[in-house]
Amino acid sequence: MSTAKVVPTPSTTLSFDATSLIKYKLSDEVLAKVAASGSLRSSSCRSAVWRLVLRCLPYETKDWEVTLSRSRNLYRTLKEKHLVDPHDKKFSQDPELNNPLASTEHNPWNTFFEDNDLRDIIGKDVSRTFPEIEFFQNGNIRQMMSEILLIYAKEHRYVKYRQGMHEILAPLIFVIYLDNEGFLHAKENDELKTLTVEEEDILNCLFCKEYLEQDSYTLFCSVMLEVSRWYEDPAPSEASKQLIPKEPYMRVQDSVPSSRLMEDLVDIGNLLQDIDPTLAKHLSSLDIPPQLYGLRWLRLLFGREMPLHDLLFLWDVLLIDRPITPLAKCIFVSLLVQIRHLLLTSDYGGCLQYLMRYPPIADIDSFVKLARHYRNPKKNAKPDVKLNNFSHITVSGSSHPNRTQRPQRPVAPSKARPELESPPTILALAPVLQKMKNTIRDRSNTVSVPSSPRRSHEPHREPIRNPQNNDNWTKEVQMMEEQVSTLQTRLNEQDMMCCQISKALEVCAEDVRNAKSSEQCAALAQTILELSKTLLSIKTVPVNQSPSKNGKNGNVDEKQKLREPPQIRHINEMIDMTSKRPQI
Amino acid sequence: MSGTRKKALLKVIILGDSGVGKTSLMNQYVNRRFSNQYKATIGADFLTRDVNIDDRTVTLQIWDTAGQERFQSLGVAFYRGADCCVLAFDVTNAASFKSLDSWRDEFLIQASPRDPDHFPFVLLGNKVDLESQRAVSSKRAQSWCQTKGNIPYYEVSAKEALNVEAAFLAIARDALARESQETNDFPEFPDQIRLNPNQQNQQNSGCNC
Repeated sequence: MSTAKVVPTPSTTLSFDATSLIKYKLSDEVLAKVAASGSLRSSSCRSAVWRLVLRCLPYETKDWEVTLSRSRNLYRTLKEKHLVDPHDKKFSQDPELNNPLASTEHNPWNTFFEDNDLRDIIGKDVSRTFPEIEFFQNGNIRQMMSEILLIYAKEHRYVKYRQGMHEILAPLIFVIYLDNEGFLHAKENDELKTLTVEEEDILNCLFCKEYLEQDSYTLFCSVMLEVSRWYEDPAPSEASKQLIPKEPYMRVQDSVPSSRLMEDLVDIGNLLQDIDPTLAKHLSSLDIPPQLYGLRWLRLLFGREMPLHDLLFLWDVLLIDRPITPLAKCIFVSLLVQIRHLLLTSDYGGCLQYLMRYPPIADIDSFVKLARHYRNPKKNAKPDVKLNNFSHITVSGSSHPNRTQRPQRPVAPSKARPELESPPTILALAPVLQKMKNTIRDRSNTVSVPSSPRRSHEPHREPIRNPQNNDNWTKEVQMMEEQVSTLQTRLNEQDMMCCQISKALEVCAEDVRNAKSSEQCAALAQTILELSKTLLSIKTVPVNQSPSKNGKNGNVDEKQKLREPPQIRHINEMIDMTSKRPQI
Repeated sequence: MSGTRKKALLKVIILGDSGVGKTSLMNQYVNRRFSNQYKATIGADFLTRDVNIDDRTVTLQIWDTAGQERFQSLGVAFYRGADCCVLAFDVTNAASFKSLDSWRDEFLIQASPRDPDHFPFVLLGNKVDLESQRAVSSKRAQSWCQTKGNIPYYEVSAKEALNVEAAFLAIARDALARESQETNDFPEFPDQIRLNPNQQNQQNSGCNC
């Protein structure tokens, strides 16, 4: 590769690695294209791209080291300032002067006790962060997250800490961690040969493991600049102060929006009205305005509406389109449009259960295209693919309450096979291939394990009358059900991919029939070979292999190994863990 | 709408401090499962369950709320139309018991039922499986309930599925009984026009002659 600065186009950035970060001339426009193409999904520089587009890093790579050392030092200073230790020598240890029980001014114990309350609140949430991902069960990571959130709360007294911020921070720290590991791996594998010593130094400084906490804080603050508007306290209204009679007909949507969050949710309702009047009318006739369910969608930037690997891709596209509110509103509406067929056929309870437990999106690429189309209809064409969701499961992989709860429609075990609303139709060949590749790569990163064992596939389950006696038995059953739903999710994904590949093959066959030159034939043969490779690579993972050596993708490129994080819990580990857990 | 509502729909709202187990209680009741892998509830969550009470199928719409969220951010009218409010605390956490007053008061302010003194509340003391760590005695909880107009009190464990079914069934029965008594917590029509001088119409009217 030449050392000249090249402007990459999306087609040349299929793998966006550390070298591209240094060698290419990057800008918001270029990175927007890279993000939209999905290249970051398999890249180990996602965190760097986020930091660039959020201005934590300048585009001039020469300035990175200075910028980084400044932000890292700043965090250290903040920590010294905010984390008060009353036992520190700088405070008098004489109980006459600084008594833990005295509430005198400047008593370091006051701040200490105050902080402890805040720590408690933060700790409760941090310990409940992505319970299905092993990475977040690590004590060090939890400690880092708690400190970051505490410092943020103390530095930003107008927003403080609010539940949900921990799930904004979590993907950020995760991505930075993965990229640091990825960089080390690339170095070991001698993938950075084309870089000069200086260039490598810059990257060494950027992807430095020791500064995970500092760098996460900086990135978190930048993301919060965009998101904090949805965390602000509402303006105090008269209603909260005294008992006054209210309008008897008052509904959620009738109340005057008292915060920017509510204002934005009202706007979203109006946007839906413009884009899909039928759906808007249906939801409004049921009294389900965005204000009722949208708080979590916005505050977590859709973090619970899709699995982490899809979420990160969504954030790639979202974080670069700043201020993010307009695109976030479009994503919100797209989520509704995406499941409109489910919503239109559901009653109040059914709709809310779909909205509170969003059924996983089958094709995230098309979904993102749809959201970008609503954001800018002239520039971005509307994807002509039929959109699909796995409506029978939740993002965590358990059975969807709308499928298990309705007494009139009991789900028989045999019917638990994937129920796509209709077979997915095919786009042009290339994007499908790309999507499949991405999906496969991603899948090596994240094993979706159901976070909560919910009622699964049995229609008539007897209530457990004496849990103590049946402890072992229940545990077994729950464990098996968890496994079933995890496997089911995988099967669904694979079924869908097989469907797409079969369609792609049909297209190929048609093209072969019409091919005029041998060159065309050769190209088509190549495509067919690629399809065959893809088919091979989606073989099921043998259950008895450990995740670190899992060989399911033996023929897929090296990059996967590099992206394979050992922290993510595999189903075997989960089984181990469940059996060791003292009680359920 | 109120016609169908009276038939078979009950809206139940669970309130209480963060971490007392509101989500676990709801899931234990609806799915008969316990998991220690729940994420923090952001905003609110929602599940339904059908129960048969005296040959009548009743759908419980259960709203689980975030413990840190105060009412205003959820929207002023979020709680209106509730048939019952479940207050939950953690028997091993005295602070969560102390917050009950403010949860109850705020519910009454925000939902403003017509007859606040008789609106059906239920108190659930969760985590009784952790008996050795108990910080709030059953007696103390009961006497609190007495001061609030004899709120029914249940000691439950979402983890052990202890009493959860019974508590929710009692909640449903209680709310249903009130419906049949034709009491109306949220009046269909406003009360008669009140000539209330401290209402806002006074501020706007420039001319009262």
